[in-house]
Amino acid sequence: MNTELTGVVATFLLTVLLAFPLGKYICAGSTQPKK
Amino acid sequence: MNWKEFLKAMLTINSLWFVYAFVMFLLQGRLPLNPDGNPSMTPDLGFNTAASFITNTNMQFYSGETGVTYLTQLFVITFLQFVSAATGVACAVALFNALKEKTTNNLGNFWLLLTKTVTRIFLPLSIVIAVLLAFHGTPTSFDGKDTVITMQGDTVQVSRGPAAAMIAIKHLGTNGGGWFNANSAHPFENPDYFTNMLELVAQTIIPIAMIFALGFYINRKKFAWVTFIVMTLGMLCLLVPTIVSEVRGSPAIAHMGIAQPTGAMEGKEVRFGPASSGYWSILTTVISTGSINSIHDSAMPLSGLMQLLGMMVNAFYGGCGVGLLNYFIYVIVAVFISGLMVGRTPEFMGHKVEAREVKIAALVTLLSAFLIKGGTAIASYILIYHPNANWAFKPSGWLSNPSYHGFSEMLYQVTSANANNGSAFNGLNGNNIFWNVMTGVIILLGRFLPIIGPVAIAGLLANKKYIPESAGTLKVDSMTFGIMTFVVIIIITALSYFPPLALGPIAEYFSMK
Repeated sequence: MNTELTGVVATFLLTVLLAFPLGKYICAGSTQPKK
Repeated sequence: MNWKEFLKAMLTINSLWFVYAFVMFLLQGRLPLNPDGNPSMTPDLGFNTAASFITNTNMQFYSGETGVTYLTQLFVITFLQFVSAATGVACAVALFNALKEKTTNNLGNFWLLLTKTVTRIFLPLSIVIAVLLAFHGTPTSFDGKDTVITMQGDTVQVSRGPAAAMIAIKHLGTNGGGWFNANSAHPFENPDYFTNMLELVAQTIIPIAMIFALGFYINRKKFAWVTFIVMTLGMLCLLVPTIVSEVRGSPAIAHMGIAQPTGAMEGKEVRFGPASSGYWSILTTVISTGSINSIHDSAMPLSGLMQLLGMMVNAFYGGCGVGLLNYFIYVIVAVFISGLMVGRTPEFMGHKVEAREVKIAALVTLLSAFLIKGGTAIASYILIYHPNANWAFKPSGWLSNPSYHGFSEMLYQVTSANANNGSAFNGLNGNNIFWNVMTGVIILLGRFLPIIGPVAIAGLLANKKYIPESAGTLKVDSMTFGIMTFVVIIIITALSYFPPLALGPIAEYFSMK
């Protein structure tokens, strides 16, 4: 069961770790309208 | 575009997509790319499915193996999974633009935002995820059903299709509609623990990334972190009881003296186990994906309660873009209440929040409660007073379970429709005119009014004169305001939904003790 819980925690942390740079990318160029 | 032009563009293109999808579902049986010879949909099922997929809901009252063709799976369903998610992101960016500028009536160009979101976010990420899924065993073939002889010696027909591409955007776009009927519990749709992790990350990454994007975009990173903490706290409040109750196992089975060393395994895949299945069930309900890797109908009553709450709040991360819009409504209510508490005119990021904005926020908040409780009440009334009505599918055949659980099945279906989630307690037989039409209408109202409301509020606020921050300004990026928002969410949800929850999962929980 501990392995299962570790999997859950690892999955969430991995998501946040990847979401942060993706958020920066979304802001930087992908959706910003032209002035 | 100002907020009215922006919303007009959004509604116009969504109307066209609806007509396109509806016509395609009605004609699919006569169109190409149908190797299994699947039939066209009935008008009521076509209406429900078209409404479901243009709104990012993906409620499926059909079986993926027999109810749609490769043509409609790819050129209607997968197409809508891209553009419906991009619609949510575009509307969220309109909110970002309103918050970024001191005073403006320009919320951005909807068409530009939509196109860029599809081509620069969803397409590249989907390609990566689809390739990873294909290498782990998810089919990517245009061949029809395969004939397989099982270990027992039975001959069975196994559905295939170009599934990997669709499953990638199904998760990235918080869509949730499965290629196969069993969704991500199917061994082709989610073959192993790696793909399980991959699909979990895929369905959560854009909603969380949008929170950080907000912080970068309006240059208020602290506000983004406070928002992330509040949402994560809310998600954990739902997740921890779920995992605990699933890992402990069923009290009904324990009363029979049967040990449950692996927890409550009814309706779960052995390759995922109860903890990961519980985690998936909460994530998929808080972010409005609606995909499943276990059967929610078999979850413990406490888990069912948490899944329902996740959809009722619909703002702990939430769907692509729309989660932030829903959270914004709660923020406006929190700003208004905070203003009343200190006796000042409420302000949010330098703009006065006045009666019109608060009325819109209140209407959007009350709308969800009205649709969920009203829809469930109508279904319950018909089931109790007209169980043998002379319909093609009699109401007495709707439910697989009696009593509290049967009520929960109806409540869950309506809640899922309103939250644009799409998942179901699978015990409800929903493919009939009543459920197709009622949930179809709720899906449309539950999608577009909660988008129109926040974008209108954002447009109205952005038009107002900017008031520079002073010592008396409410600090919306403080943890105190974050806690205030969290409390507002809890109070609104508790007041709105406690009665139906008490009749369903709460009563079932105490009956099993």
